[in-house]
Amino acid sequence: MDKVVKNGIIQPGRYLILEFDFSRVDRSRNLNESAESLRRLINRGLSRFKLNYTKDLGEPFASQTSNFIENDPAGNLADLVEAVDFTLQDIHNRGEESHPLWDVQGVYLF
Amino acid sequence: MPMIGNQLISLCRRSAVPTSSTLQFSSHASLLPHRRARIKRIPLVACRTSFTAPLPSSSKLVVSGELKGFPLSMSDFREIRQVPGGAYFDKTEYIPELEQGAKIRLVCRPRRFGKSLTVTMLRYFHGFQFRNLYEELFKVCRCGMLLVQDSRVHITYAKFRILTWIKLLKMA
Repeated sequence: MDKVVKNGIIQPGRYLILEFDFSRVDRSRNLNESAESLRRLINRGLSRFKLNYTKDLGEPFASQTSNFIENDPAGNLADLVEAVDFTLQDIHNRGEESHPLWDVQGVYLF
Repeated sequence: MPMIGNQLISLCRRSAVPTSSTLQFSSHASLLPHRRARIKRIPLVACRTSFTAPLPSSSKLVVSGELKGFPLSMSDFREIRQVPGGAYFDKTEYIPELEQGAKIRLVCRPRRFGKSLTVTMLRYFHGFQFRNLYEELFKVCRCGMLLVQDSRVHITYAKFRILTWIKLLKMA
């Protein structure tokens, strides 16, 4: 593993982690309850992502993701990934090589 | 026989059984349209309970000091490595394989098989906020063994079994 890292084939710490544990969704016989549980779980995962990375991604990311709609987790996910994309691209456009997120590749979804 | 992508599956009463431990999805299965070029991919490791045929494993058994047991109630990679006498199957050698392979993977293994541990291990390796922990959690010495704190030792599964039998014989 260390050899692979030293050779530059793979580098640690190059992703922002977005994690959803779908085993925590309530498996109710009522599909509406399950769907509501799934919605909450996705929104919670997105909120955790914002909590972990807003400090690093900065104000533009925070403002872009401030209008999450509770009933639209898929839309929230799309907004979040787009905001991350925009922020990382902006860092590269400005040529900020000293920025901690300069070498970050994107989002790693579990 | 039915297929998912290019993977053959067989059907039984309760679940679809892949013939491979991982199902690889094509790139067009990504969740979102790529409006900008910056994020080139969104890797996905998903876990699902299923039965699979045994495959050659790259995992190694790692024990922290004298063996006391497997911390079965824990699945956090960092926490497990700090348990004195705790043993776990190290799957760090899969990281380069996962990196080189398909963008999206579905990992199918039975419960208690280390899926959650593997996911947390990947989180600690790839997570931006954990990059300072690489030396502590993933450092490997020249001989290819894990260089671990608290005098952890690396042993093969065969040796582990022999040691266990010796322990049991002494207890008898």
